[in-house]
Amino acid sequence: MIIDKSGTILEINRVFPAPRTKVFAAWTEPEYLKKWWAPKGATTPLVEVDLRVGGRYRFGMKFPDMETFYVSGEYREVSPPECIAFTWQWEKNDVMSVPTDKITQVRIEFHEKSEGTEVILRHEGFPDRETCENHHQGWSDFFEKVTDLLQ
Amino acid sequence: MVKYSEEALNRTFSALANPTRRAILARIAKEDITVTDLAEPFDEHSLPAISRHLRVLEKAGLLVQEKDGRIRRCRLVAEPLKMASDWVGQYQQFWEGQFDALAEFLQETLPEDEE
Repeated sequence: MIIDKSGTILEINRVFPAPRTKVFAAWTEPEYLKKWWAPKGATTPLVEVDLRVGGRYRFGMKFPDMETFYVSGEYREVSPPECIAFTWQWEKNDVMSVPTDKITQVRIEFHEKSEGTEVILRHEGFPDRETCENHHQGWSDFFEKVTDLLQ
Repeated sequence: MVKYSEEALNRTFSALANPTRRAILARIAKEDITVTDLAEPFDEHSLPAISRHLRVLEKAGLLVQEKDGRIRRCRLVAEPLKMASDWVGQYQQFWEGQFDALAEFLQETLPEDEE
């Protein structure tokens, strides 16, 4: 679990050895998304992208012998090739074993590095944006202190 | 697979979205503590303000207040915290998987596209 100082609940980052425009396109262009979005063993039967603030996206994820799971949301920020932000909602609540059918927020930043492009993804599990922006102190100290209880 | 209540998770995240309440929980995590002792390090907060935070935490099921004569003691309930940390853990796994898939895709398609 990585929780950053700005108070975001989940943040992961990775550097991809590829130019920024390419990495940004991979996240936003349907023909690219179709090729990588589905996890191993799954396919992506549907990718709809209306890439503008207020536009919506919808991705399907199909595992063999299972129904298709859909995730969809609305773009909140579209700044190629630097950043996209969107709401996130599974259309069924049985994709993961924790609640997934509420609307949460995802923000992805693309930074140019000498080795390629750093992608920073933040996923905020709060019920609404106001709550997200309301906390200033980091979570890391907090979870550190109660970490024994979380085992 | 354990299914957690959607509403309960929302309540937990909302309750945790406040630095004072997180500080309170971190303190209670160490030991059960009386409300008066709890309020003491928060000099900018009055006892009623702390009591309000305690009510929010209690509603979210994160702590219980036990009366011992005139003294109120607070005890942490760890289960909702576990649930919040599981949510984060599962999404972390999910996104790491997506990053792996993206890395593979970029590796496969880059040579042909690169100018």
